[in-house]
Amino acid sequence: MSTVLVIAFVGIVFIGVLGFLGRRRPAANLTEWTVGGRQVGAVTMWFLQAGEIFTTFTFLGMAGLAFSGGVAAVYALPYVPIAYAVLFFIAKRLWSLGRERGYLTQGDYLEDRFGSRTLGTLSGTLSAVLGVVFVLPYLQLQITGLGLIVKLVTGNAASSTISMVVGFVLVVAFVLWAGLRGVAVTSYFKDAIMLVVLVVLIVAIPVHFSGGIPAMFQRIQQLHPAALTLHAGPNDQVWFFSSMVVSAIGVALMTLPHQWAPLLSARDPQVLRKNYTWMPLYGVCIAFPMIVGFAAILVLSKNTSANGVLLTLTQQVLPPWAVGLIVVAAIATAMVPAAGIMIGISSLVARNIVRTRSDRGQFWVNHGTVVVACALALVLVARSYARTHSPTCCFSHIAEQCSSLPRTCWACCANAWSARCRSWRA
Amino acid sequence: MLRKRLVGKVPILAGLIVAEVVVIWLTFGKIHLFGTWNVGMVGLGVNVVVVVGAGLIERALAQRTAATAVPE
Amino acid sequence: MRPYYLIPAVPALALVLMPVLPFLNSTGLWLGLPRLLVWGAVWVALLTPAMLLTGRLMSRAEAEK
Repeated sequence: MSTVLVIAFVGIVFIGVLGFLGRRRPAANLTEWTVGGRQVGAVTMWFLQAGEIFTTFTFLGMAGLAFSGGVAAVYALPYVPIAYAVLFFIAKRLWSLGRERGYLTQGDYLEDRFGSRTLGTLSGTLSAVLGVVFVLPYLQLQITGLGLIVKLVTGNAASSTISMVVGFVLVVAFVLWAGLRGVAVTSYFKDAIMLVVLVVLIVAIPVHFSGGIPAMFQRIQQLHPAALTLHAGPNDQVWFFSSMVVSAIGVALMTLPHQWAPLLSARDPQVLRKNYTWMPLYGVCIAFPMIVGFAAILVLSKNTSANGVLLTLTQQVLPPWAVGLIVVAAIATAMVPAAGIMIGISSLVARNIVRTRSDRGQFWVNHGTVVVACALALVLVARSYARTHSPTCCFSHIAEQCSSLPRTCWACCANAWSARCRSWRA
Repeated sequence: MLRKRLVGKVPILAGLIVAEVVVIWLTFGKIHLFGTWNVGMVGLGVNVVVVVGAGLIERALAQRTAATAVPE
Repeated sequence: MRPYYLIPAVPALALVLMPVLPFLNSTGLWLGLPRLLVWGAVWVALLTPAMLLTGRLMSRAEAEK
């Protein structure tokens, strides 16, 4: 067993153990489990919401998109911060409504805001069903990402499969035990290791291959000038503009089901406002993996798999133990967001689809859904694996496809805001 | 925040369903009718059109009902 | 609507217009980096002071009430 593989497995188990530390006793009810009893403070909230910025898509997908599409990758830099500028104004009202009316999910909000019993329930259920169906591939993407990371660095398909299964069994276990608090604790680790790793990578890779970042871009300017402009092709200006704007609208209008639990968990609205104010500075870090992707343009052949460029360059530059740490950071970007997604899916099913009458029943449906959703996502991964004999995914493509579906759906739902806005005046 | 209620529940549900069908069709049918526009943006455009159209019909029906209603 | 609500709209607009500004879509570099990347990063970072200023003005307006 190689050093990298050992460190990767230790990392997977460590993230799982951290998740369990989120809570000393299992949560007694769904409010406690889903939104941490609405008592989450500023620091924890920071890491919970930062988790939405840095996923496998950001870490590996951004480097891949910069490698294949050049500056087109920059579309991903502003959309979350723009959305935060909108949420800065509306989050307080959403939070207050959530606390006052007991929301735990997006479906709860829609149901309540639509007012009418039949149509309200229908809209809540419909939105919940669409949310679950279209976010499930996003969960699958995280699992596939984990497998791909291990496959890329070890070249071993069996290790990849084992790591996917072990990793996601642990995620299910700590999510069942600790709920949102487990996600929060693992987020501390994820963001800390990822920032360190990204800083190391944007220094080490350009210095190793080109003598520094400015020198690297000067070489790109001479050898691959097209990578520095938006031009005709799949990632042209229209693609850039429409992807950026629709993604910003999606995040700003709380269209993804897993955005709701962190927002509703805040201790007070000031926590949220402070978060949205400072988060854009953190969001600038998305540029780091893009810079690594640009380095790959000079070093790797065009046929290289875009998803793997960050890890491929890492292996060429760093010693095995350091590659192991980078793999752990990459794995964390798969496991931690997956945990948040599971909470989003399961609470929607329990609250807005199955609708059991007792609190206890709702709690068990919720927990059962966590297991079923993860199993289903693993089956989807296994099916694609069986077809291609390797965990395949193109982060930039799949993430765009998966996220555009729920985002459109929820942006549509967001029209409900205007429908009920009379009662929204604070 | 807007001070007036613009549309009812039916137009919103109609907009949601139609836009979602369009996005699914464009995504899974691999249809490239809109060049490099993000399918989400196309779906959102369709949604707005349906919501506005259904909202206008809803308003017209409500006015007609009010006009034909016999006061007791 | 109070004018200070619009302060974060300035960086947001600068970001949304990014793909259509001709001086950004060029092979030239700023500070050794692609122009789009520099423009994006700077305006994203400026969203923070914009929201801080709006937050302060909102608090002051609330206190005056």
